[in-house]
Amino acid sequence: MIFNSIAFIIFFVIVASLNYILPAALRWIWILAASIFFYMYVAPLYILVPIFIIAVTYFGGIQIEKAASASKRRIFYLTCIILNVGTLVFFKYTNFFTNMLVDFANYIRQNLLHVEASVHNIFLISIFAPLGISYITFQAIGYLIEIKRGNQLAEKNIGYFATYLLYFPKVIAGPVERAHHFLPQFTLQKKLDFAGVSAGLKQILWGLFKKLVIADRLSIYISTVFDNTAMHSGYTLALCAIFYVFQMYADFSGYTDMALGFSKLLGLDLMPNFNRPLAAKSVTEFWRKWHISLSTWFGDYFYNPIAIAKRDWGQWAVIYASFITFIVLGFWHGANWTFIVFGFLQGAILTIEFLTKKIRKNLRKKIPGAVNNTLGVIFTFCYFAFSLIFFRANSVTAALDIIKGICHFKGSLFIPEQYMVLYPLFGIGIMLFVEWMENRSHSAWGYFSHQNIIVRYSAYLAVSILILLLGVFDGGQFIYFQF
Amino acid sequence: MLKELFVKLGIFLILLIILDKGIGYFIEKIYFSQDHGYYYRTTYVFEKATPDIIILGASKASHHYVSKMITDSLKHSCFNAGEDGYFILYQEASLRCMLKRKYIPKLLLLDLNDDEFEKNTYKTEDRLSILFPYYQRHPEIRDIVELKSPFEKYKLMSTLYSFNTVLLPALSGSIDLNNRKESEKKYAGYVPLTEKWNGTIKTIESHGQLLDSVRIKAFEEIIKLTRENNINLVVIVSPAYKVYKGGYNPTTETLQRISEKNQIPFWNYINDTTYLNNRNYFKDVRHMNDDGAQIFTANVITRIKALKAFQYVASKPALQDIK
Amino acid sequence: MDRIEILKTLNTVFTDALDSDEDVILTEGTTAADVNGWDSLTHIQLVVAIEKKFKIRFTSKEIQTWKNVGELITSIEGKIK
Repeated sequence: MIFNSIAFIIFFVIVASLNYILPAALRWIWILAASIFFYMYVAPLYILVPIFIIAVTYFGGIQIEKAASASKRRIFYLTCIILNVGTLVFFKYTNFFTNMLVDFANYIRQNLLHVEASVHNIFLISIFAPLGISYITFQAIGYLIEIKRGNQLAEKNIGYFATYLLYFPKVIAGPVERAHHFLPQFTLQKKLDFAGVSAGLKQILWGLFKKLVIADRLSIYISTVFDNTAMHSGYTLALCAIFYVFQMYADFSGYTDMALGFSKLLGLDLMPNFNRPLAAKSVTEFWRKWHISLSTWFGDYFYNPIAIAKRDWGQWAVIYASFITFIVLGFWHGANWTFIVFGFLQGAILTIEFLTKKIRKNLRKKIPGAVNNTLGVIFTFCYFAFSLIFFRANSVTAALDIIKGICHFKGSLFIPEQYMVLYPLFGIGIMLFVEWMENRSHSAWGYFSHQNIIVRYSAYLAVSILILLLGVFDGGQFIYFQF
Repeated sequence: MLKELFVKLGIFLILLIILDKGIGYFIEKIYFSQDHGYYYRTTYVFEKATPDIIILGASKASHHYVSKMITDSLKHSCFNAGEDGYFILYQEASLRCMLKRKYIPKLLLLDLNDDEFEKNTYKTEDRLSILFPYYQRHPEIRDIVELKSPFEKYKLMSTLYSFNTVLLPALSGSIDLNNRKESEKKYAGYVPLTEKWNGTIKTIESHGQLLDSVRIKAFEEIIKLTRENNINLVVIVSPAYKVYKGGYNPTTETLQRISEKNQIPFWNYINDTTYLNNRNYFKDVRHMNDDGAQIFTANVITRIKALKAFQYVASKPALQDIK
Repeated sequence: MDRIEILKTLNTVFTDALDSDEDVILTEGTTAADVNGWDSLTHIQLVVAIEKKFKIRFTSKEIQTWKNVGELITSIEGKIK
């Protein structure tokens, strides 16, 4: 069930109404039941995987906490981490690793032994990764680490804990919620008030706008071009690479806004995941504003421990930790070399930005602030667009072909129908304007939270009308184009 | 809290409905004031066209039948109503609207794709949104639109949703900047393609393809409607630059079987070597260019002339002559 | 060295290590979010600079649990005594 489907809306109205009627102390039971239903909606049997993770992590957490000796604590901790990581690797990365071994064996047969490359992968598993497996295991791992570090008390109520990992608004696309932020909300039992519900509805509306008017519109154009890269000019490919940043951002942040909004309607707060990343003036700053829940997770559990352990290396500690962290972060997105390259590119630019900090600071003194900021924003955008080519492509070779294509300044811009480019551009314009306003006034929700009721209502209505008029509601929008 | 929420939501919804109908009214006006362009073709076929001979189909129809040639040699007016990217349910809807306004063509050429019924080609529901603007005006096509989902009925209560996406194309269809109206009129619906294909011939494996029963039912419905209204129907699968592995094609076999049962002429050009041996006739795998279309239309005209049914039709005066 | 002196010393260490455009003014309640340029990348450099200055060595656990400058000072206080 995706959020922008009628099925989900019906489901959610039922869940939210009953949640409102129920006494606060019982709500978690209802939300857990709804989350289990949501999880089992498509493939019921897959619920066994999160049940396994919940059981391991719940009991493991308690054991780590009360372990009598440090060595015992270590054994419990490592067992739980291995089981979690193992589950994730098994479902998501088995084929990637076995294929790599098979390719390697075939390479040796062909090039060193000069025999036919006839090794086949007999370990290929043809199962889908369970819904949200990367998010669930990462939250579980973070929880275990915090208990081991002594920052988090093990949750004693297995119901609360199961709800933490299975909570349906965040199961598909995060955020990677922290236990210390989420779990106390069950005992605090915040009252559902008008302000919360109204904020939730606004956030859903804005999320829908980004998803339907910008992301899904752009996706029609971008997939037509990127599915047939060889037939398109460098200009078209470059435009798509730029568009893809907007698609990615509008899609992901729009979906997250909906997740946070729906969650507010149930009286639970999720952590924000984006903080206007397109305004970042460096890639380092960008990663503090993009997919925040994941980048802080990697910061706390990957980057910091590595950098601290190696801090005697001086600058090399930072460089080493950056590369390792971002390569793993890239790989977390999917089992493909393209994601590893994506992560490597982030590590590389962070290193460069880190090493040139002094030089850039001196340069900054010589050029006016506005020029400097603008150049920073443009550079960050372009670099991210470039790295996303790898993120989007099916293989590294395909990504390199696109880059080669972009360098080829020839041919014309592919515009099947003007509105296919104009609609999303219009949507992007509105989004950037609103974010610029928010950035300037340091307030969230721009016109949605304006003091003047007429301005506020006009904003809700305008966004609703644009969604109805320009949103993409189904697969009915397509580019009539064939090769 | 509930009271405040419902009052405010209520005000919001009432304002939204007023704006939906208000703005929707103007967009509807713009949409139906078009006189050329992609969407105008649909309005024209649904509400206005009255040629003696009409060609219904998707892009293969619009690019393959030179309507002027047909008019000139058969001495009957002809319009090519092929609509790029829209398949048999669209053609069923067109026919229903035509019959509803008592327009009975003398000859109906139904051009279908060689993979028309295969589930893999496209998702049936996805291609129905082109009918949204007509949902309120044409009750006769409502059940086709509702195939999309059980909720569509309610969603289409919003006028803005009914005209989702079409605002800009409709504007360009009502403001004629490049004198497209004249040229479209000249071609009577035919859309010539100029490029030449330089790819290799495609071999299609059709074994194990699933067919969509909804689309097959639409085909049978079209036959039923033409029979009830005494319309001469010819079913045609026009040439494509591809061969089917083992000559097996589930769509053409189904068309053949149903047409035979109903004694409808079925002309299958899919294995015709006149076209397969001439890559120059094609623009891409699916479509012929203008050269191919001319040769093909000439052949269709010869075959129409030979039709017994048509000889009877031809003996009657053409529609324009009566007017 | 008392807490105020440590804070003063820290202030100079921070200004040097962060190399930021504005002057850094620390209080016991200051957190990473309050200081421009104090992020996970520079945090490590800060730690190294502090360790050098006070000739002490923190444990990994300490480094990851400070919530504000006050807690950092407490750690330093405990080591230099």
